[in-house]
Amino acid sequence: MIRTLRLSIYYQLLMSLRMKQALFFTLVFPIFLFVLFGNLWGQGNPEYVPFVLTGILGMSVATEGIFAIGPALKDYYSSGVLRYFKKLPFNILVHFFGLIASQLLMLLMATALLLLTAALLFGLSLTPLFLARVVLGLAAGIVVFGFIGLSVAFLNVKKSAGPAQKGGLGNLVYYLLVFMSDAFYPIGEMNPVLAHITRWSPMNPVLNLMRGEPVAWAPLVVWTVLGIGLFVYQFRRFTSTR
Amino acid sequence: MELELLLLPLTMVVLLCIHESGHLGAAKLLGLRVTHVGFLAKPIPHPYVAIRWSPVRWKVLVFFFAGVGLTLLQFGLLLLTTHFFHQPFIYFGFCVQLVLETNPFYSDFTLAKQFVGGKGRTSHEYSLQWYAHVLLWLLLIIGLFGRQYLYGYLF
Repeated sequence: MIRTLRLSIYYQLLMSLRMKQALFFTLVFPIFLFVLFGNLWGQGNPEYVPFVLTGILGMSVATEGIFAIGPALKDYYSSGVLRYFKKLPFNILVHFFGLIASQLLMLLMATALLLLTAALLFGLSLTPLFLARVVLGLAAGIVVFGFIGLSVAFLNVKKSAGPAQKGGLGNLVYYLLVFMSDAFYPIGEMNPVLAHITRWSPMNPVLNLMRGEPVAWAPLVVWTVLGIGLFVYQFRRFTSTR
Repeated sequence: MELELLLLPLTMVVLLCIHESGHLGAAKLLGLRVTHVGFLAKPIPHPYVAIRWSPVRWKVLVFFFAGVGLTLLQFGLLLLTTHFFHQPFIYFGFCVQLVLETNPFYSDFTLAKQFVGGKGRTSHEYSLQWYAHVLLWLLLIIGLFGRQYLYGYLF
């Protein structure tokens, strides 16, 4: 069982590393943005470097949650590959755990590279407290964004969507999550309406966890419960009607 | 201040016209046949000049790089002579235009690469050469917009 899981993680990871586009957007693009923003606005403003670092980590965890896990699981169900998997001589859950674990490993690799870049280029001090906050934020982020991603992916599970349709809603949710939050700029300070909207963003509590600022737990809990509820509802509806 | 802001799009529109006229001029000078001049909406909205492909590779490459070459020439001239009239928004217009014209996702550089390689648009993306282009592009953006580099020196 353990060996099967290990092999499943290994091959899923290998597949992710061989997808050049996924590799760029998971590992390279966050570093690109961090080096760019850090150089443009972080020079002579030491507070901005950890701010933008955590913002980009928030963006990375949202990318993994929305695009990596949900759509893959949805495709297994909607394309009928799941029936094929069920005939294989191992538990299907091992395959799912392998997929999720490999994506978490990719996220950890991206995080490690970002932290290393921050330490080497901007002299950011990687204290155990800061690292613990980052891990806590990533864990909270992957749970809430993972379930939001699953519920969004299963919303149009019955449609045989073309490539344009496929990611449309996911993209919209992703951009709202990233840009209607304090990921790159404290937009809540810009005007009261935006402040009201960002107060209920699931991204802000994740960012605040990483930044060591007071966390509003209510939006985090509400979005997680909503994500789980909507996913379970969609999943049951789909499995009972197909 | 509000009026000065208009200098940014105005500079970019003028530069776009000069960029395309660079392609046109190069085509005429090299004897390449221009087939279309127009505006494309995809993958990003942009004006274009199309030519009938020539078997002489260097002529087509000169045609591709004439636009960005002209922008760079003006950038250099304004930098050395007038410091962009001491107007940050004219400088920003030039910088945004240069960043767009040299981007590694869709620009004359990627089209030239496609022409040289004889492959589809995305075939060279994510190669080692492409990553080198991305790195140089990143350094260009930082060099143009960073307060500690050219922008800080000029303004």
